[in-house]
Amino acid sequence: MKVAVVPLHAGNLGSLTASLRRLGHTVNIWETGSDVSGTDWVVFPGVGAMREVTADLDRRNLLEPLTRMRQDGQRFLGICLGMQLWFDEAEEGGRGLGWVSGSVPRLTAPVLPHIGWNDWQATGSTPAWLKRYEGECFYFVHSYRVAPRDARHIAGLTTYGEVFPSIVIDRGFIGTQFHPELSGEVGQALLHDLLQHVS
Amino acid sequence: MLRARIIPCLDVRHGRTVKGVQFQNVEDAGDPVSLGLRYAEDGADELVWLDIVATVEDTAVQVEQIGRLRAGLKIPLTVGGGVRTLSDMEALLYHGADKVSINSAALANPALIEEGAKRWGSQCVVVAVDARLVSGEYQVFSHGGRQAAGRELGAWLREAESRGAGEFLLTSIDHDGRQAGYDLSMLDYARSVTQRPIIASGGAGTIEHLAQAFDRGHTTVLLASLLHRGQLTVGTIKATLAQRGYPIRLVDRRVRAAEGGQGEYRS
Repeated sequence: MKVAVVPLHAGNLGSLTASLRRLGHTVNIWETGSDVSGTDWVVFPGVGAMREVTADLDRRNLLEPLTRMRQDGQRFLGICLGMQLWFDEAEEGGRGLGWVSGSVPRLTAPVLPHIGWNDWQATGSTPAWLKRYEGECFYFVHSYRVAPRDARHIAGLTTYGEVFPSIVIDRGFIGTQFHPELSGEVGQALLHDLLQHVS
Repeated sequence: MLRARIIPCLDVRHGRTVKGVQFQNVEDAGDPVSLGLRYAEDGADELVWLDIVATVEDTAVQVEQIGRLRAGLKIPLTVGGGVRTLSDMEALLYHGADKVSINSAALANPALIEEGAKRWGSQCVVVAVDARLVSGEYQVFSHGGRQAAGRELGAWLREAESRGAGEFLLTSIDHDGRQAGYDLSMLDYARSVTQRPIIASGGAGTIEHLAQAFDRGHTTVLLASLLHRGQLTVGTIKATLAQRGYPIRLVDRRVRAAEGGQGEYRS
């Protein structure tokens, strides 16, 4: 499959692109609007700095084509920050894309960021293909969490200090708070299955 | 529930893994790329790669090796040793490191922490700290533990945290390489002064030493000589700790990744 990765500032895409290539996919990096072409998936990676991400995408002439693709039913995967930026407001009060209704508050826990391997539980919204991974450990690294306004968008929950959504699904969009590309064999398998499914 | 993190450390010199006792008397322990992949397959939760020399010539070797490791590695990789500038950090991140560890350079130029965190996010910036007890106070040392930095441990951890450190790698100089247990008093003290995760380093010689750290509420441990000398494997360590009831991520041997889009996940 063709997978487009949209860098959020100059971050490290190495783990993500290596993971996608191991799965046999063709990876294209979309730095600017002129890189945009037909693709099976658009991935917002989990690294980068969140501040002014909307303005940054706009400057790179990506905001308008991505917004149009979202309306046209394009499949999107957001990882960690790449999921958080879909919401109305970004961390620390920045503006998000507003494609999913909800906020991005700071995680409440004594030690932050939440770094390491943690498991997750399914919800009533978890699709069957995903349920097979319930209870498996995935790799997390984050200090903020998402809070979707519509609970039906929550497809997975994880506990660290508090219970927070670790998987979000909303019409063609799937977001994971954890990093499948850093989550060993199970992460690789989940990424493989995820890309096969129209969520 | 968050699992304990067990992190093998690859101490690398001129492209080879080595292990020294108290930062000295190094001995060859093999090719870091194949060793790193073996640790990962055996259940390592992350890898740390520290180049203990990192001359200019070594840097080219290092980024090439890191690229090769990344191509096969499916867990997080932290790389450090000799990192002095933002462009050093960029080169490592660009070639596949997920986090960069800075030590002496952060002490000499603490603004480097802020600049790195601002550019790539705090999660990319691990501040490595070497410390030991001097006249009743934990003092920080730079340059591989040889030079007093003139900073008290707690004050430095607090400053580094406020500048954007995402995580600490805390090595006890006195305990390192001796395999007599982690410096639990130092770890307890560090835990009490910072909110950031701390990777405990220096002193692991037995599985019991890991259990002692976990019992005190420390969740993340670095392993070096214990593994390099082949005394124990990551798999044995994790299986033993899991049996004893510690929260350990176990790698299910039945799980096979869908390499090349061919495989199937079996639970």
